[in-house]
Amino acid sequence: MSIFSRRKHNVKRYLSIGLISSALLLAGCHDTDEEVIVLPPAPASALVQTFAPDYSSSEVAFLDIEEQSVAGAYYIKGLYADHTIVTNGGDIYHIGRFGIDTIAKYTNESRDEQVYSYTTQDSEDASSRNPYTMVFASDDKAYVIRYGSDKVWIVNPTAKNEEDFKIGQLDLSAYISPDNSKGTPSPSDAVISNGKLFISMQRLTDDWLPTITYVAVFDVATDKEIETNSNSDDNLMGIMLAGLNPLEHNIKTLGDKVYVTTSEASFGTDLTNSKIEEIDSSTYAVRVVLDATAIADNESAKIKGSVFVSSTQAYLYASQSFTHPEPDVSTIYEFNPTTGKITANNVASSGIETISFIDLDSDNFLWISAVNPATPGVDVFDTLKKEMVGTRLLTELNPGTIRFLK
Amino acid sequence: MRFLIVILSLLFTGFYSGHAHAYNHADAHALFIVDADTESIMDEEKENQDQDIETITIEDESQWRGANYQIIAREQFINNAQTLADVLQSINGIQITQISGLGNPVSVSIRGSSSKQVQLYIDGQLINDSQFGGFDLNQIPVEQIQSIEISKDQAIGTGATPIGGVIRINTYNANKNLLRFSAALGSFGQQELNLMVNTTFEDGSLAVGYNHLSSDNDYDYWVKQTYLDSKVSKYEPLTNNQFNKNSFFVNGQWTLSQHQFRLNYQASKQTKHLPNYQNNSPLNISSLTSDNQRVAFSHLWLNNDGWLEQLETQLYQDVKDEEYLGSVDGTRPTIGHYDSNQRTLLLRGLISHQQWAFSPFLNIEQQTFSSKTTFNGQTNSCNSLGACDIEATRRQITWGNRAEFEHKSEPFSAYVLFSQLLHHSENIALNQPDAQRISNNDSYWTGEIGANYWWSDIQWQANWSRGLRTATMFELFGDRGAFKGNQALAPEQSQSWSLAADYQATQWNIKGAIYRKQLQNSIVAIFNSANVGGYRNVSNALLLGAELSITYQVSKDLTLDFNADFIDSNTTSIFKAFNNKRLPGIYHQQYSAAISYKMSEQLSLKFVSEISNDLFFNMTNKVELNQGVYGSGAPSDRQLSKLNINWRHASYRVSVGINNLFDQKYKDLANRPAQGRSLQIKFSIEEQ
Repeated sequence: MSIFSRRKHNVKRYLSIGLISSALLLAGCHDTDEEVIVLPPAPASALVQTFAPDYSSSEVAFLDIEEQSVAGAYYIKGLYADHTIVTNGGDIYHIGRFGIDTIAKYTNESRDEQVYSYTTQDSEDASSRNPYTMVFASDDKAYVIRYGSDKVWIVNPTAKNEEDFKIGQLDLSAYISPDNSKGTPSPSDAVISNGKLFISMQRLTDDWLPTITYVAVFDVATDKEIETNSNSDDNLMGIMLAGLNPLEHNIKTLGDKVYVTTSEASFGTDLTNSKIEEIDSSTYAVRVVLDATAIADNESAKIKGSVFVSSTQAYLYASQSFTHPEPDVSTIYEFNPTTGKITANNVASSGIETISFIDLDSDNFLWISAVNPATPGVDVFDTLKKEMVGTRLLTELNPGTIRFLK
Repeated sequence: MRFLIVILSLLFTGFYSGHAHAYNHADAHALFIVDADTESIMDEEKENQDQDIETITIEDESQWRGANYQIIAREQFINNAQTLADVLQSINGIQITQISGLGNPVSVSIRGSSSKQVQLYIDGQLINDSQFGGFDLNQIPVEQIQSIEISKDQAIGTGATPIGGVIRINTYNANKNLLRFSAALGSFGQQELNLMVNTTFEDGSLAVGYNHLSSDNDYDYWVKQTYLDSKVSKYEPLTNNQFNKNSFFVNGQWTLSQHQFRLNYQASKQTKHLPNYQNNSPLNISSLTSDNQRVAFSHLWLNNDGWLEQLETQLYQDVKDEEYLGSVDGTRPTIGHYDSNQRTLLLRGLISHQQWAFSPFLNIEQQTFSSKTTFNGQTNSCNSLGACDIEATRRQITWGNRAEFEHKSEPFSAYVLFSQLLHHSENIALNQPDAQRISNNDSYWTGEIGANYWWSDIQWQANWSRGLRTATMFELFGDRGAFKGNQALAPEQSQSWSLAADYQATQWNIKGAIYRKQLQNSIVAIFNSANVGGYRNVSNALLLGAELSITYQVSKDLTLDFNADFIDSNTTSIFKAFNNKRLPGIYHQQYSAAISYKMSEQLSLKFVSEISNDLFFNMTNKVELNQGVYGSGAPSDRQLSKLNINWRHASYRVSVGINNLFDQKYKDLANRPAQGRSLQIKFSIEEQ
């Protein structure tokens, strides 16, 4: 989506950016679906999942960068704090993960009113399946990636009854590592591109070691796995990658490309195992964009996540967070996905504190979760003007996953 | 302050005294003298307790009492308490929270402390585990307990000053022939059996006892995703929650001239099954089994001549083997073996001169811990991801001196206690090539000053203490996996001031206390964005507290009791999430009222109702409200009522107890729905 065009959504944005005259001129015209009102881009409304530093509690905070406001204390969890969030339009899904195994739905219009809470466990499931995320094919079809299971649920997010929530499943059992007896290939993220669902998997052994990373591909229309012929030597249909250990939020799409970020084994020291790889969603060809050694003078930092503005502009953040429990330092870099070259360091004044999450909104503003003991919060960076937007939106607890509302 | 305490405690070393303080379990810290009148009131007070009308004899002439220190005699709890936790929760200033179900962990807080900050002694041995810092409060069955001492801020006698007070269990030590048998049945499959024989000889006694305690713990629990149909939420009896414990003890004591010897042996084996609270799966076979053996030897030499009045030597060995079995579906089990071994040597003397008494002491302790874990039959390799198997050792030397002053003509006494701790800890990961042994050495001091004054009918006590909790080995070294160590951890420290008053009249007893406690360097587990954890000193806190206990004897048959406990706490932290919060894990308000009524010579009853409010489960004080069955208020708030009915005739006794009489719903220590109403019937025969 071009950063210079946007559908009309929000009257407040018109007024706040000083285009009253333009709005009045257009007021006499009917706003139809074909009519595109060109506006300067502005950051979206967002919400962020936050956690106590000791993981004893969690809550969700709603963010408005234009109002510079933070509305916290939503969906507070005490004992069972392990949650994440996903949005689809104005719908909010609060996912309870390990040992919780639920998806609760809310709407932005009625944030306090729970629409439903459904389980993500099959009957006679003795152990927790640990749902990590939901990926939406449409308003009434989504995929639930469950880290502790070799089955991906297909669900209807609009289901009025719990019996109608799960409508199918995908099978990833072929990808379970030979040294894993727990029955899961540890799928960690997924994205839909070009009508296909791409699922990245860590494929851990019983000792928690990642093995060869694979991305399984399914046709969204038929839910059948696609033979990618990625590797003629294996008996797996998916795409084999060179990097190790794709963490949460590791897979993104831009145009017909899918990008997977791997972070090397948690204790590992081979920085070449931490890569950003590009998959052509039509041909399934894989190209390594860069690895962690592309960062100048980098001795231990691994790539934790990446986002893509265009084929020539993207951002990654790297941290050396495993070696000690002390606050790790993260740095954001700008890079060119086509050439694989780092083009800017310490983006958004990073490099002095921990970053736990980055993502782009629909107007390509970069949202950054900054974990600072005294001033935790979310920063917003304008990737066009290369400057910060407003001041940090301070949260009470440490920020994690950020999602956007429409 | 440290310099002053050292000087005071050493000032009169070498003086003689004719005022002997005979040491005994209940008196080794004799400070507050209770005169004959007060003793008789205490006896009379105990007469009006729910189950006992016998006169209680405290063995030694020097006795404590007051809001800061209490002794609970055997007769007060033997016939109606299931566990030590049951006994302690009636004490004002002590809060007991536990995970529902017999055999589950119990947390003790004394004046706002955390459970790790409380010291638990069995006789003279500190039981707190060096690896994890906790203790099993219900380690000793109540049948094997002679008395329980509670000090809310200070050490009991000698030893390092704690932050959260001391609970000392004095094991069975009767001086009369006794044959006792008791049996109990209770809700959720609870069964208990006790047998004890105590035989006295000319110069000693020997007691042998056996205890069996078991429970199915199958109380109704709200299962959100039931196993057979994950979409269904409903109440189900909790499965795989059984508890079973068998314990055996032998206590012998004998006297040879000026020498008193005591030898204890306790052995217990218990298994606690661990339920799956998420889905109550019937396939779950997880459990924790603990095998414990403890040997204690003490020798007291009483010297009738010379400046050294007595010298006490105590030796303890405590060996614990634990096995954890983790399998939620009955397959691919994780099995962990954990072995702990604790050896203690305590030397303590008593030197008296005129109004002074000095107790120099030396305590040498070594604890070792080792773990061995397998998953699905394979030994876990130590790769810094999962927890590693380890060997850890802690050696600690504590030395110091307690000096006591007792004015001969004025009703005034005082004491000062100084302790120096030296400790060495080390840890090495197993199954790891090139594993490095890490060690940590440090030294600390603690101190206390106290004074006691009788004015009119009121006993006043004032105390200052500097308490300490050293970091456990797990906090220092982590699990050598994804949970990292932090050798820069400072110990948790406190400075406490308290003022207490105890008023005794014919029909009234009123006790009150106010205190101020400044806590520093709270040790909390912090996780970074990669979920790598480690302990850090994250916050300080200020506690202000007030306690009030009123006992009114309306008549010979009717006694009323009222307790109130208020705590105000506030934290300061560099972590915004923890700053300006209230301390977690403690009720900031507790009130209780009790009626004890003796209906006849044989029949008595006691009704207690307690309200507990303002508990936060976490340091951020986040409360998940609107939880359906708990209403819209704080889910930990509770109002619990308890009824005890006792009947006795000759040597027979029957007790009926109903806990949570009105089946109040609230959240327990683990922030889960607590067990509801339960019933216990206990029958006992005691022949002398």
